[in-house]
Amino acid sequence: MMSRLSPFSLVIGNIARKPFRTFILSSLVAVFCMAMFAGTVIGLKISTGTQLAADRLGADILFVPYGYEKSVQSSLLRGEPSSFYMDRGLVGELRGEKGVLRVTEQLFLATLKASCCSYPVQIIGFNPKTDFVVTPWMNQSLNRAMNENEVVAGCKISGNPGETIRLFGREFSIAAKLDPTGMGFDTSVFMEVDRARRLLLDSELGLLLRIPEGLDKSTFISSVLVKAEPGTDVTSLVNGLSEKYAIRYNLDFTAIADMISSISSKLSVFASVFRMFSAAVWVLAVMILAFVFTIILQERKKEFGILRIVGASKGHVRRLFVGEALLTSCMGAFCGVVLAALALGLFHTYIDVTLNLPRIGIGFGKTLLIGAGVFVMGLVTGPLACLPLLRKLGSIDSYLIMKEGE
Amino acid sequence: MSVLLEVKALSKRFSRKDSTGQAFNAVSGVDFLLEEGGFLTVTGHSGSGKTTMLTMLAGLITPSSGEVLFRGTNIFSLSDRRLSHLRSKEISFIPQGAELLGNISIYDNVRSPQLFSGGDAEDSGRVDYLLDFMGIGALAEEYPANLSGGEKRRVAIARALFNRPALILADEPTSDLDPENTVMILDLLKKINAEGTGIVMVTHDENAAACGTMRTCMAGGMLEPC
Ligand SMILES: Nc1ncnc2c1ncn2[C@@H]1O[C@H](COP(=O)(O)OP(=O)(O)OP(=O)(O)O)[C@@H](O)[C@H]1O
Ligand SMILES: [Mg+2]
Repeated sequence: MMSRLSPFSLVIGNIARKPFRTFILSSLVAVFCMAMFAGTVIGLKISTGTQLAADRLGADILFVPYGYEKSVQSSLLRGEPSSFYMDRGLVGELRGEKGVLRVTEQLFLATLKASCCSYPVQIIGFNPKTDFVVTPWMNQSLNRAMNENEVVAGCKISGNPGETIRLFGREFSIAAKLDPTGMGFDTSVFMEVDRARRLLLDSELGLLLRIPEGLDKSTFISSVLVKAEPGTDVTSLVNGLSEKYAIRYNLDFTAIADMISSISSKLSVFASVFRMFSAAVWVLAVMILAFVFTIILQERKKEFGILRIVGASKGHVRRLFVGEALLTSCMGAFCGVVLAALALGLFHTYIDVTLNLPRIGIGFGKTLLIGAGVFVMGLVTGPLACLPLLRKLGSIDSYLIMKEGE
Repeated sequence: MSVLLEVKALSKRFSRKDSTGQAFNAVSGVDFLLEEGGFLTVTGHSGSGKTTMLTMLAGLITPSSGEVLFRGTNIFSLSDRRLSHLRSKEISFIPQGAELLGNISIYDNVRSPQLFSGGDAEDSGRVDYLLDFMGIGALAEEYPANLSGGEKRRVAIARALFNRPALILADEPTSDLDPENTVMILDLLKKINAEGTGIVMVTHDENAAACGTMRTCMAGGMLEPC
């Protein structure tokens, strides 16, 4: 008539008949799992994103007019508009140098107003034929030459491909958008370098800008980016090139690796703080559970005494206690992982924007793996928290402990 | 008649946390013999050591000295596992408060010794028979919290009988019960005893003590005939 009574049904009974206790205990585990899961995913996104940024920026050396090294850094890193100019001749000369793989130029224009944004936008002219810096960030490839009135917009510029944007009083249509870069590119608009130059000269602003005397008005640029050949020592390449050209072209120069590593170390500190935080939450969860179990044991001495009376060995009692903790943390871990996955899935855009994360998925497989790992960690919190009590349950005259401490 | 239980010089020393902080013997030098199917009653003042002695007979606490031989085997020479198994099969203990497991039904409480007595096939009518025998057949699906004190005791007795033990150790099974319930429980125990189960019963009640075939009194940890 009735199913066989098993230790498992006893565990189920204890959990089901104490919903409040079960809820509190498994919530603790759930909160830990949520923090751990979200923390790991976000941490991984940050490190993947930074790695990607370093990989994708792809340039090793940056040349700008003397005195503007700091400006170009804040331009690239924070998107603060700036404008400075030099002669394009350098591009051709660098292309012939040993150890140089690719060379491309950019032209910086600062706008004070644009229809899209409430803050000044940086317009960057780039050369689509030689570019290796901007193109990799485009979130859909542009398999054709850009026409006169097309631009590529950074991720924080509002407007989608096909829509128009007003710059220097002219309408441009957005041909493509960039993925988040975590750099100044996010608030920049890119157009063909010659188009950008004409735009600058045609506008009234052009007259006010600091175009140095003697600069050829049809070819000037702002910066030159160099990619070294693989295996080249960038530092000595920088030294060699600057010795040769710095004076002649009145140059500042910076090795981009130094710049990127400063960004990435900033971000990876953030990621490791997150990881440490998760680990701390885990240790805390185990400690809190252990504390709660100690209190519960006090309340349940009588129950364990009865188990001994009906023939449970110390091992049986221990296994029942651990089994209950395991099942409780199993429920908590499951809910925590599922809730965190749901939250990350539903609010990922919001989270990316608030935390200024690169908009890159880390992939379903990796997410699943992290979920599984966090679930296992959640699963063992309960049994781990039992460990201090197991000795108590098993070592001395256990019935006496259950009656009342000796 | 063969010997069911032989107790030799059984003592339990506690270091009590009172003002003197001295160790004292809650049970000291208890000797007795109980034959198969015998019925021993123990009376004595509160604090005289009755519960302490009974829990030692059940192997739930270890004595400071002395032996408890169950059918010739010193139960304290057994491993915890084997001793626990013995408790689930042969030696049933009815605790003073008639405590039950609160999170499982009355039906499951009665068959709870089965949890730890190994994989024997269940005698499916056994629980129903015992509950009817105790007059609480209607309560099978209830939980302990919904039962009266007298009903709980009957469940505890049914649980003690579940595995057809050779020895029942009952700690004040009739205290706090009205005369009607007292008589009923005593009749049940007499009936069980008549079927061949040995009983050691601790009681404050003179009428209850009269049920035994052997009457003993406990005072200051020592057990004497009375
Ligand atoms: N775990 C313990 N630690 C210290 N002293 C104890 C412990 N258990 C019992 N005692 C003491 O041992 C003595 C005997 O206790 P026991 O419970 O055996 O008495 P009892 O005869 O069953 O009393 P009652 O009739 O009130 O149930 C008491 O003085 C009690 O305080
Ligand atoms: Mg007592």
